[in-house]
Amino acid sequence: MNKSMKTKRLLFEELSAVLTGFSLADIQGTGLSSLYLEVFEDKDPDAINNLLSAFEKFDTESGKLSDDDLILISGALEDKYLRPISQQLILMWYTGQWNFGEPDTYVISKEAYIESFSFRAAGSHPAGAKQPGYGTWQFPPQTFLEE
Amino acid sequence: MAKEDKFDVVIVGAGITGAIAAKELTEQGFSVLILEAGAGKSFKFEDYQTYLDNYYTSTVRTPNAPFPATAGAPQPLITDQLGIENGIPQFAEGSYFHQVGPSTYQSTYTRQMGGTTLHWLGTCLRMLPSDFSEKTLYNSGKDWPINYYDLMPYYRAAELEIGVSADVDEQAFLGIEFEPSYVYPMNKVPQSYSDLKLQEWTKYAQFKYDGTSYDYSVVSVPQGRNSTPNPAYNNGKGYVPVGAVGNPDIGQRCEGNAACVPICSVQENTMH
Repeated sequence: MNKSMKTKRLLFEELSAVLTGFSLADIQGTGLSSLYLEVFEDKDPDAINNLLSAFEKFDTESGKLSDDDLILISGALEDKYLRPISQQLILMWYTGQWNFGEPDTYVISKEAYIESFSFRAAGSHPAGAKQPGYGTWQFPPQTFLEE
Repeated sequence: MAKEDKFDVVIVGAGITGAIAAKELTEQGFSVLILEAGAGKSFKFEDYQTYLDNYYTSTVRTPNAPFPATAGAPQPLITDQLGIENGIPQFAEGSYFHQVGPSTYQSTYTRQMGGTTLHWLGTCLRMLPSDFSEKTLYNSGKDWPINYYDLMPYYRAAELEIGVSADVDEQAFLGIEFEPSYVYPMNKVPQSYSDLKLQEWTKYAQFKYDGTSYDYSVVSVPQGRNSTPNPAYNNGKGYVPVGAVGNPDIGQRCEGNAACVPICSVQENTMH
């Protein structure tokens, strides 16, 4: 796809994949990217636009970045303006929450909790949702093999 | 609700005890009024979905998170407790309890229709026969005026009402006895992977107490949550679990939600 044809949402999804370590399909599969982008645009439009612009130059579509790209991205994450918004984005995907400290911390929606990546990263499931089924607690823990 | 203004019995609190008392009394023809200060929001399946939404959207998922207090029925919260400073227990402003003693109540309960069974872990252990004669046997505590055998029929009735899952052979330890033909309404809940590993690892281990060596014994706990019905229950008549409130097709089995406390999302461990 031509970069200029990319929607803002797709760019946001690709950026999210790079920053969370989950695949673009995982990100899109949550059905939450539009909502999350809206939250950022509502809370701090300048910050999210700056972050998206900074990432636009990388070819994140394939989900595989060159070493040079990774170095540049690491640099961007050290940037004092881009770092807080990047952290917020990662936390949002992993916790389903807006995390700028009490009393401003809140769960974005019930779906955001249910789809939050922390549970998947732990090989678990969100308590009270996505139940794994009767007797599954007897299975050995899931193991993740290195690719 | 009946249009009577006079009742044989008035029960205060629609928790498990009040509900069972009301059931027994009405079955014997008495008219009963139950008074509950908390919200009566546990009658429909949609009510439970609202509870779940409350839980999902709480930043701190405490036992009471799904069940917000109402003005008429404030309730104790885990977050009320701020620890102990210089020997004095500290509580958040506006806490439900006023506690001044040195050892404070460190738990919560829920003031809603259904009571604390709404966020109950489902532990249904019987007491040991020796628990009733501590003074005589160990010169400690007090003896009870009743014994284990006096309680046996009531344990049976409670285990039926709750639909307890356990294995009689496994639970007959340290003097606990059952009637010869008795089985629990449901089979024991399959033990967890970590339970089984612990069982395996402690198989040949022993611990010493007061000069005597003892084996370890890892057994499951009788649970007020649904496993599979035991066809041998009630002399072969079997047991049929009650499904979720307003949706009996779900809740027939524990689904492994990892959320018995504070809320089972298929309601297989709540009191109906």
